[in-house]
Amino acid sequence: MRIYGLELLRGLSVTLGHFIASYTEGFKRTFANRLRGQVRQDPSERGIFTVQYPEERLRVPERFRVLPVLIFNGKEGEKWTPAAERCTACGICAKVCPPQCIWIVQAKDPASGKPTPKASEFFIDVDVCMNCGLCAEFCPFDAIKMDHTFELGGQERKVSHIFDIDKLHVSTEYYAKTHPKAWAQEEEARRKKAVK
Amino acid sequence: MGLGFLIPAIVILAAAPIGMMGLTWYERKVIARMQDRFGPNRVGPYGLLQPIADGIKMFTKEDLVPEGADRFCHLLAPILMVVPSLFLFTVLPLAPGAVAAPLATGLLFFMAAGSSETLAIFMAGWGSRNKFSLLGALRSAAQMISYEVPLLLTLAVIPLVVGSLNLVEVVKAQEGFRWFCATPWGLTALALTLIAGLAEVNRTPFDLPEAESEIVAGFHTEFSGMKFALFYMAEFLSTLALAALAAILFLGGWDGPAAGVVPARWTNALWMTAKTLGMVFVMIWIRGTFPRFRMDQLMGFAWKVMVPLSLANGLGACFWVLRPGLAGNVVSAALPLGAFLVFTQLWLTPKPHLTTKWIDPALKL
Repeated sequence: MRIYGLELLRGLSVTLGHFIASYTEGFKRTFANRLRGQVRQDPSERGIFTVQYPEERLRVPERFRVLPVLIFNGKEGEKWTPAAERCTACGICAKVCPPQCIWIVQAKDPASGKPTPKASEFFIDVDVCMNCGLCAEFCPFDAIKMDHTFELGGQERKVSHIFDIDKLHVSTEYYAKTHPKAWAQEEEARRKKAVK
Repeated sequence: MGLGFLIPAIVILAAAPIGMMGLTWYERKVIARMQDRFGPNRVGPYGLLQPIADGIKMFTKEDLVPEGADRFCHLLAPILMVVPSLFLFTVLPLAPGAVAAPLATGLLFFMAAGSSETLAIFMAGWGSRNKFSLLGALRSAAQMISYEVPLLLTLAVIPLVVGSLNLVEVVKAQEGFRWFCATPWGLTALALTLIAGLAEVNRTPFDLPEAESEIVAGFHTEFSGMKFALFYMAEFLSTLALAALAAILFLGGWDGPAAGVVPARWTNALWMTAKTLGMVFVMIWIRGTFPRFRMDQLMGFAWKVMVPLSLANGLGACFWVLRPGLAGNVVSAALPLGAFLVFTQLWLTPKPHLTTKWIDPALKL
């Protein structure tokens, strides 16, 4: 003798449980600000897993890397100046770049006409860059770093996707915010060097 | 004979597409929540305008008729599918007096109109000149024949107890919280009606006529654009009508506590709507939970479980009418329960081992 139908009722209770949990967990996340911007696919986690992308974003890992940026010493919102710029136009990044997407022009002293250790032009072809991060790896001056900005879609390729020196420069403050761990390590290293 | 019939006719014709649109949204939302998703939430607040977007899309789609199809059948099938499902609403009372046609044979009319949809399904399958369509239509016919029997046997308890086939009378017999779902036979009949009704309107787990994993989309494989939308509409309208019927027959229809402030007819209509939507929720819930039946399981379930169970339930209801009180309640509870326990054991009986003739005996299968 076997009683039929009990497992059917159990199945119904499972789906109803998911139905209710999707609302209770939703309220909890809205009002308790729980798990905001995180992946919610832990096996113990209940409720809706969907992250509603444009409105809600997952935090990207610190070492996530898209496109190099140039760093200058300064605050966010400031415009870069040759004095604050870290890049010395040594060209190592351009040489090491596997798809050869970096183009640098060295600045010249307007008075004497001699080359100065600064870049006057710095281009990166965004669509060619393969986000390998070798430029940031090899830069001896911590001047070029990988960024987190990944929403780069465009309607055309030849103007807006060639980033120039103004577009590439970001402040140290911005970099410290997006890469807190890496920034702390670099600061530590610089401090030790200064003590020596 | 005035033009008074026009008003309910217009109300039904106007409300049905809106109700169907709301129902698609409701179904998608509930199913999504059960599957830990959001469901439609991009068009309008909470995705409420999604059905309108779908409707516009349906209107702009190309109307394709397969080469060699029976064009007349192909055109007529979706229309013949929708019309009976609109008929269903004529006999369903929303509130006291708010019924298009208080037929003395309301229940019979409902069943007759509901089962005539099979004809349209068969026309769709035949007219499409597609083997999947025809398979779906044949499945639909087989399923309808099987499940009509337990459904009618189950619903026979209603005139037995109420003494009328008029759905208004049925609700009046339940007024004052004497809902039939509170009686043992009524509860069994509600469950049986719901199961057989799901089979009647081809909803999961009885959606074999449109089983997408096996026969593309069954009888409406070859339909596109608004014709396809009409099939969808008919299906949803039948679902809604069936839920309303279950609410009327077993959940007391418009009966419910009145608020006092608002006129009683408003609360009555509200109760009826709430009960109907509740029944629809149960149907969606079942869809969100169970996988589809296999054809032999479908037939076996109808004939081996549902038919004996509905007969036992009818017998129990007879006792309930003859001997009101404890004895009637106990007997009408014990009979269907016993029948269920005994007849479900039929599944456990060893199946005869039949060898198919064309199998090579040398294989020793």
